[in-house]
Amino acid sequence: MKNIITLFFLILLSSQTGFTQWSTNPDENTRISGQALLPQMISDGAGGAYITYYDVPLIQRQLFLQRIDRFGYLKFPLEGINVSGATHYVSEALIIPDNMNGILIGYDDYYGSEEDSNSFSSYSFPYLQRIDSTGYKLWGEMGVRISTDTLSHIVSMCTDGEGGCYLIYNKRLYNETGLKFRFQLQHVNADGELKFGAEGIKLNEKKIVLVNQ
Amino acid sequence: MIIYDGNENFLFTIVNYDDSTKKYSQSLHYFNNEGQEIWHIRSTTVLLDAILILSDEHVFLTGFVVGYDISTHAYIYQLCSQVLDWQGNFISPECGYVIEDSLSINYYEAFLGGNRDIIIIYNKKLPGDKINVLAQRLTFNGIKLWGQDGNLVFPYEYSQQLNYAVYNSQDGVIAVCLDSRFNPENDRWGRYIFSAQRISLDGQRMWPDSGIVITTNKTELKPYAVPDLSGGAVICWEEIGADSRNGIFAQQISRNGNLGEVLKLSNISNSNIKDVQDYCLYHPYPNPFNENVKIKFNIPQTELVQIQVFDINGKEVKTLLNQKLLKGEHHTVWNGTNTQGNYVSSGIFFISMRIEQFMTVQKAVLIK
Repeated sequence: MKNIITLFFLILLSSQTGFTQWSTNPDENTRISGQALLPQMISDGAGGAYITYYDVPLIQRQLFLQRIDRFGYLKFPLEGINVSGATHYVSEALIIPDNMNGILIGYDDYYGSEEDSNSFSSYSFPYLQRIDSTGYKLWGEMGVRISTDTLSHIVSMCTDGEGGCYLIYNKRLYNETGLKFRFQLQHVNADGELKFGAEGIKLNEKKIVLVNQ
Repeated sequence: MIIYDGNENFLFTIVNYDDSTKKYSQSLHYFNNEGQEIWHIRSTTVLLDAILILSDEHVFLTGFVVGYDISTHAYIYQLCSQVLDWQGNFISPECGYVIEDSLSINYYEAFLGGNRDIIIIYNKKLPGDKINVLAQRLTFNGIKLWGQDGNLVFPYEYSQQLNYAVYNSQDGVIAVCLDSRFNPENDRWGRYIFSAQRISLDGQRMWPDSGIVITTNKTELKPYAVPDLSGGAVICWEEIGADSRNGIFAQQISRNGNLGEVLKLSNISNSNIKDVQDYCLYHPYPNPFNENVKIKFNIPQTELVQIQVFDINGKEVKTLLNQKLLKGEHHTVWNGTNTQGNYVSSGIFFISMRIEQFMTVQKAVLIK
């Protein structure tokens, strides 16, 4: 009897990897998060996916990351990983694979005032975070700040093939002719270092109208 | 858009506006990893929502050219594709090849079909508010391989609208579409669902004409999809229904069109970065060069490889490599010297890769 029970558990354990969590019924799908907004998804390089979304756990809207494997199992805590690690308002998430089975996430972080860093501010700074396949933040709690100019914003990025990325961000400049965008090029390597200098490479003297994502 | 070329360089495209001439233009820039520009090319044709696709031989830049019809007060969208070589020269006309010319194309996706063509999937609005999803395969020299009007992705009575598509190099494209089968009048507030269709690399529909329903629950926001590495896809979306199904949901569909069927992993590429499944001699960089030029190449199997440099008269300058190498990606460097070790003068040189049954050549320019 003992052998039969052991055999039963061995069969159960060995077949776990074959079980899928996915529904076969289009009326019932796998829930990633309730009440969350604006998901984006990229491949995790192993048949599953990284999914980012916004949620409002407290007062400010924040950015979260979840990973689902190819069998439909959530790999990170149910509430996801808070990408910015802060309670500031976060927006404009941009995601790409880091080519090492992790993910690179660009986002705008809206700091509050010095007195109350959790309050909403109309000024934002662009950040970039790298998170590996286990959910570990490789570039510190908040990631790397791409520009010290407020209202700068990452508009497009791609892998550099080695865990970092090339990116274009814009700076909003006001002069006598009105609003003008200046676009900067930056290379952030796998360690989160800005390789094209703190300010990046200036792309335009004249007005650039658009850089597609 | 910015894209990595798989060879330590990257390309990006931007739309410019010149205050003095009051004209728009588009430029495509090719940079190395040190932030130095290798080349750029400017075009008066502006492609909006541009997608860059790279093959070993070509750079494809696809997007919308927008015009305005004064008589109908309607915008005209042309879906066009420019094709360039890796030196930044246009192979297509500067205005690109026209894939579809329509009053209303509102979304498209494009993928590398082979080394010399791309696959494009797009929406086309028909009279009566019906939207068709069409697929086309376009070669580098402008030939439409799937007929003048493309292949219909859903030959089906209700309106479908492409919202996302995912590709792998073995099984083709899975298109995820907003489906109006429960909302035949296309009521803005009505019930839309998602369905999917798989198009093979030769343009055939692989699933039923009406596609496979991914979710029957009301949704209308953009879904995303990624390859499941078995020829299927994982799809996710947001629901904002009136019931308790608010939130973010996901579903998997196999290459066979079955929900929740996880098949064995296949050894396929799912990105624009090239597999080592074929011979390839990459364009040397930097190019032009002053001191050293890096020559990168792929071989799909272990064999004897010969890399040589020839001058413009076809005379051998130097043999850089002549040895048996393992399958994979390799590189060598030419420092501008000849067989005797002397530096050669400025000029155009040809770098050849020769294997038993294969030979290819790239051009390099030495400037002193």
